[in-house]
Amino acid sequence: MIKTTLKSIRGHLGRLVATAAAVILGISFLAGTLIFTDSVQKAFDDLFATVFETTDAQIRSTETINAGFGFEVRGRISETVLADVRAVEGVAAAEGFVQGTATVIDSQGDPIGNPGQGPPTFGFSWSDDAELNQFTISQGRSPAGPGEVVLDANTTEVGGYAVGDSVTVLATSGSESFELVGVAKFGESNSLGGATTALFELRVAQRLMEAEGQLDAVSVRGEVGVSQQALVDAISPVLGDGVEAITGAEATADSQDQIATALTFINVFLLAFAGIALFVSAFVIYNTFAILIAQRTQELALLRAIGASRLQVVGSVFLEALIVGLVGSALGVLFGVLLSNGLSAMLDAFGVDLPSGGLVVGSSTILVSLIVGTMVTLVSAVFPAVSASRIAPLEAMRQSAAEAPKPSKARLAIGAGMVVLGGIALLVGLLQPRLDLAGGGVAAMFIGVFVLGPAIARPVARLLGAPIARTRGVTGKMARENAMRNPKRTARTAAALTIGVALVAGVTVLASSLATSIEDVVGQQFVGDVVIDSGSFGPGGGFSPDLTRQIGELDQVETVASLRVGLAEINGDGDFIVIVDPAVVFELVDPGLLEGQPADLTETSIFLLDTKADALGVGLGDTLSLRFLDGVIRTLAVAGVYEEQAFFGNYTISQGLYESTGAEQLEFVAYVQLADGASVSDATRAIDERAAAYPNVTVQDRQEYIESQSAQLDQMLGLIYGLLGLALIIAAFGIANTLRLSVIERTREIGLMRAVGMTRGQVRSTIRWEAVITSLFGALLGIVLGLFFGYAIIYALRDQGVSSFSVPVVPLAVVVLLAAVIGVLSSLLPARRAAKQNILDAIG
Amino acid sequence: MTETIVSSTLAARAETAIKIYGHGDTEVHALRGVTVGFERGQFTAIMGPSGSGKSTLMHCMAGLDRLTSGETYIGDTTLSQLSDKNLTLLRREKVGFIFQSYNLIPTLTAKENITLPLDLAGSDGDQAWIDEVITTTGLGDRVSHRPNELSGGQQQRVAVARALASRPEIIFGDEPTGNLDSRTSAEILDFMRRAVRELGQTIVMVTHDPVSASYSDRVLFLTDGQIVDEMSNPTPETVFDKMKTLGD
Ligand SMILES: Nc1ncnc2c1ncn2[C@@H]1O[C@H](COP(=O)(O)OP(=O)(O)O)[C@@H](O)[C@H]1O
Ligand SMILES: [Mg+2]
Repeated sequence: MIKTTLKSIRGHLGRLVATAAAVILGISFLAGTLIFTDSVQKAFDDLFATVFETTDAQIRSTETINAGFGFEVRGRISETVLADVRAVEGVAAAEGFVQGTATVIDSQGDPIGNPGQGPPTFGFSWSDDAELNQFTISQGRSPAGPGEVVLDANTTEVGGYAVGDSVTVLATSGSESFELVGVAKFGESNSLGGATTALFELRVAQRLMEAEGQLDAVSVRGEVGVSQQALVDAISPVLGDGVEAITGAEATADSQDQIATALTFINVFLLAFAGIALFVSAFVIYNTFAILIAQRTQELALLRAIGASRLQVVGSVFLEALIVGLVGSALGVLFGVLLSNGLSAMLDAFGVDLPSGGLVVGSSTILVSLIVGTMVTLVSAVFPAVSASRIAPLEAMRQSAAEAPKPSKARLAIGAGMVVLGGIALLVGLLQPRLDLAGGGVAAMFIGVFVLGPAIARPVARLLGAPIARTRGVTGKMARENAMRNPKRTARTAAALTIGVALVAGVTVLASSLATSIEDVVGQQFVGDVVIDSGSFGPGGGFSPDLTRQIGELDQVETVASLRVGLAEINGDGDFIVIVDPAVVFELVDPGLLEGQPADLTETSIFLLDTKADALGVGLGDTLSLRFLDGVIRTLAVAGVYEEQAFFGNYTISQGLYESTGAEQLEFVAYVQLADGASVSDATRAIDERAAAYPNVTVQDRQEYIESQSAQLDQMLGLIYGLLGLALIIAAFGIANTLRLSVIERTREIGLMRAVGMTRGQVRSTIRWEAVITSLFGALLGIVLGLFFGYAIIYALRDQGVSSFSVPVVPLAVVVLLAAVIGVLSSLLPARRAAKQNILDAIG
Repeated sequence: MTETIVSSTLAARAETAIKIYGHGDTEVHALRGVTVGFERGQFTAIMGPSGSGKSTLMHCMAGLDRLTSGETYIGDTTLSQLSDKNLTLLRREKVGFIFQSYNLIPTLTAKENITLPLDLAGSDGDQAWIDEVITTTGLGDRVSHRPNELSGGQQQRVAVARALASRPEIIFGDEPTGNLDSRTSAEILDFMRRAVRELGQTIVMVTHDPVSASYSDRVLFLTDGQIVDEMSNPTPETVFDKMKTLGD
């Protein structure tokens, strides 16, 4: 049997190549994702291993607040600890460091990097202890006094600077000019994993980071012969409350873990797409095997007739699937290496810059890829194999492979039932919310459509083909007939495209609805005239409150109100909080206060979002305990509840309160109300002038701002489209594959058509239009499903301010057009093959 | 002068047609210099042992294959000088071909199969002629059925009707009754003879069967890639006798 299988593989090699192509595509994405995240993790691991290489102990605050997704901040400690530590026996050296955000402005006046999305923009204090400082001066000298800065080599080059130049740096305290006195390298590399680094003398750094008298960490080097643990044990007793000492190894592991958590998010996101790619591939693989086996029904029947058992027949198909699966998966891993490079380039293009080291192809990546790829192939092959073995030998030898039996009513019922149940599961899953239920619902709907497809392919293809049959003459008519003649095959071929299009359409509808909702909300809740936006939400980005003060002093400005973002632990859970000036903010934005008055927001109270209030079970008069980085737990009275998340987020506190916590104060956006009679353009010009020192901010008028809020979705949308594109490529392979097999099956027919006067162009056109009809069938089903997905999600989000369901007609029409183009492209090779066939060989 | 006369009365002809398959050791000389002409309005039968080159001659004359040397003509047209595209158009407009089996497109109805060459050309054709051809097939309202719903004889009648539909210069048939029982076969041959007698068509047909050959006006005998004999107004007996002498 093995021999027969191998022979059969050789005989059908060309056909199997396409099956393998589907496996390769699906697996390469999986492998690519795994390789990519492994490589990035390794790059970070190496980085931190080097950072702490010669650090035996680290002293830091025990206060941390973690908001998830790797957003973690740690408190500062008093610099007096330094003297105490240095006095401990066994300590050879101890150096204090401060760290914060410092954005370097390049020689053209633009900021390098964006702390909101891109690589971090670090500001560090410089230490002259070469072993505790991983930076080494490669040019010039170290920063020694006020007005001096050293940049990493990469930033120096990107910024277009040379030693001696004047460099503008944006720090928490504001924008300042420094003389570039030196260029530093991080170990051997030109930058700290792609981050920009500005190094200052400790006092300068403390002032810039608003950390006077404070340190972020103390790095300690032990005397020879003192173990890291012994050093920590010796230091710990001299430390006060809220300060801890950890070994260098612990510090390394800690930083690595933190990055791993942040990467998990990217990893899960990418793996979701790998899953989609595999799901689509499974349909293509299944379809190819189904057709191959249908064409070989007679061959298999002959085997059965001469005594092969059913098990042997199934076994032979299985063996074939095993070989295709293994070979395809192995090649998939190879392509995955290429793809992982593509992924970093793609994420890079969308502003997610990650450090790069060597590629890491772990044995687990190889193993997982091989197992998943082979399993998917085997599972896809098992159904056609079993059904082939069920056919009685004689019946099979009579039956022609080209014409399929009519789909049954049961199929219609089961398919429709699955679609409906899947739809219900999706809605319920979204409302709960339970993502597993929702995901299962989506899968059930796809499978339902897959079951249903053959029952509806004929009438739908007839309908879709009608205009083609009318306008394209006999070739159009033949194309339509061919699309209708084997509805099972047409439906299965279209299935892969259906999935891709459904996801694209769903995302498109969702994005368009979200964009409309955002614009609606922002437009309704924001009454100002001009906005100063740093474009970076979250700690570490933004502009100094000094700019807000300056703008407030302009004649044209009536009121200016800013928003800051910080981290706090609320009743034990880390989350983002929005910080406002209660005196002015309510004049410019309306968070939709349901309870409480603007004046109720004081230094001892908090406002929160209605859904948060419900979740926590608190209302007016209750209290929440908030812990900030100073470690003090503050009990705040709930004084207001609002319904709009767009401006105030989940929690809102007053600036006075936040400033008392000693946290870094950065504005991420400021809203301006103009004085009576002031012109917008005039005021914008004046504000622009003040903001010139802050190249990371944009000054927009009301309309521009409203539009830019939804434009942020576009970036995310681009990335998702890029990844979903893979599903469409796999679908195209599936169509090409089916057409190729159909062309082989219709060899005689095509030969006959050529003999009675069909030109090569007409042969190609027939196959092309058949592909278009099949693609349109898949695309339309996909659009219907996608609309439902989008609607279900919007419906589930209706309480979260997503008010409008908008169907973007033009983008969806483009998707349908794209599907037709995919059909045309995938028909090119099969059509060429068909047209080139020798007439007499074909007929003979 | 002679040439014009020749081309006006001959629907198709071949001049020293040579066809060699393969190269070197595997070379097969299928046609060894055949010169032959087919007059308009005549029904010709071609006979000969298996492998004598009958199919090759049909294919080369119908523009389905090319000669190694020599020339074939359909009316005034020289086939060797035509591009693939023009050869296709020639088959569509000037030639009809009937294969032994698998003559019809399964997804098209009988009527659509008949008008296929015209539809491929995007022309309506001569509607009265097509109606006449369809009537002659005797299929009645079965013309709107698909091939798998027709008997073998009916299918072959549709194939002949298709060959007639575009009123071609000439129709070639390669054992068109080879797969049919004798009664059905007689039906088809009668249909073909009426197409020649009543509709003025020109038909050339390969056959193994003396009875079939007797429906024609003239029989050509092909042996080993050469025309070795011919006979006019054949009867089954005369053909049978001739085959016996040639077989020796
Ligand atoms: N495509 C081909 N390749 C090689 N040899 C061929 C091919 N077609 C026909 N022949 C050979 O050419 C000779 C004539 O074949 P054919 O015209 O089919 O004869 P007939 O139709 O009289 O039986 C035979 O010897 C046959 O084997
Ligand atoms: Mg023959």
